[in-house]
Amino acid sequence: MDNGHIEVYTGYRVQHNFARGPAKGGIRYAPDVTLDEVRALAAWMTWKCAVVNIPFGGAKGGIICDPAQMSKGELEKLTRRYTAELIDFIGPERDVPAPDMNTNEQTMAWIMDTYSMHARHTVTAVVTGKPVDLSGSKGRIEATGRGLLIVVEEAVKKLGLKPSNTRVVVQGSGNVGGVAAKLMHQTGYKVIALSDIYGGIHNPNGLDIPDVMAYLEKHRTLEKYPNAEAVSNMDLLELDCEVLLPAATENQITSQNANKIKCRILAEGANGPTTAAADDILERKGVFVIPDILANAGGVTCSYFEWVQDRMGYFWKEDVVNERLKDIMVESFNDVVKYAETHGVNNRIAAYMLAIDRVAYVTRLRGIYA
Amino acid sequence: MQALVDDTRVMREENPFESMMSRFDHAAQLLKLDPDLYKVLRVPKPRNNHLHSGFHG
Repeated sequence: MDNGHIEVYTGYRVQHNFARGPAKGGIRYAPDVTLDEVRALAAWMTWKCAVVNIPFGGAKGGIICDPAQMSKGELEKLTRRYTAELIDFIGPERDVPAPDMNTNEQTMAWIMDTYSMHARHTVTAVVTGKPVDLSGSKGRIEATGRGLLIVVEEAVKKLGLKPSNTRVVVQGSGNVGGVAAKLMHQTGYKVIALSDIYGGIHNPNGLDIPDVMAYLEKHRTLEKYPNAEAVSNMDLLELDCEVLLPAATENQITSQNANKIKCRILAEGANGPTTAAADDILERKGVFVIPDILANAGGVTCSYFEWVQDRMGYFWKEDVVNERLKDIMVESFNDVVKYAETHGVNNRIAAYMLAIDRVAYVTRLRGIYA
Repeated sequence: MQALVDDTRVMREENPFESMMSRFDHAAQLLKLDPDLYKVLRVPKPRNNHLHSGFHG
């Protein structure tokens, strides 16, 4: 550490499945990381990659640490040591990490450099989520929010709604919720509520999202934003609207509040915002759910593009990235909806069935090498 | 964003990972997934000797 002491940290990397290609998944730094959590998140990545039909399996990693208490130099040493320990397990053909909770572009740059030093040549495709100047992909930062917009657009068309009359409520204002709100506003939707960690704001006539985001950037909070009423994060979920985007954290829609949800379309920007108990209630209410493993898969899809670009050494313009993202998200949305209709199940179970079916199919094709 | 769950109306009725696994189980059941394949897909199992790795460093 910076003070000269030696600190011992525990880290994990779980590779859930390789049947469809190299494992793919983020690395998180947090004090409460557990092996069980990392194992479950690795499985989640397998299903997410399979739903959008990109050639990856699932993985996840984490280190038990408190990055808020560590200097940049300490984080770099931690990252490089973790990478060195995993050197035989990761790689462009094996397992391709990415940023997750409390890790970022800089973390990925350190991993790429450490791996490359061991390989004795530069291996950019070992991680995704790198800075654009270091073989990252254009469009990646906005990709999850953009993917969310794309699947909502498809759902809006399917339900016969008009964007200009479609009221959108967004819980969260970060890389997913904030970007989705901005893009939906640009596309002509009426974003009527938005929140941050402390609470939300609501204006039934529509929020001026660029103004809201400028206010948030300046004040670091939405509190006291003029031209809107304050609303709690939980009350925000129960607002009258056509589209609800929970894009902050898990377990927001439960058996306690599912009956009060008034949206027609629920698009899950966060991982696990809806509990299994709430699923049944939403289904009875006829809410059109776009499940997390589809709705927020724009990020990993763009990670796939970064991996492809790194391997070919040719980098796409941002509009090419966005166009290809749209192709994949629209096709995946249609696949899930068709699967749901064909099998008489809800969209979430259809997404899981489709994903499991795809992984099972290639597993049977490959056979078991005993 | 961790502080969103302060409201008392939100109960941690279910671990989100348990929700995911219960949905997996339901989907696998509907697919009539072969039991051996089910076991392979449900949990990480060693294959190529590098399924999960820990480090202390």
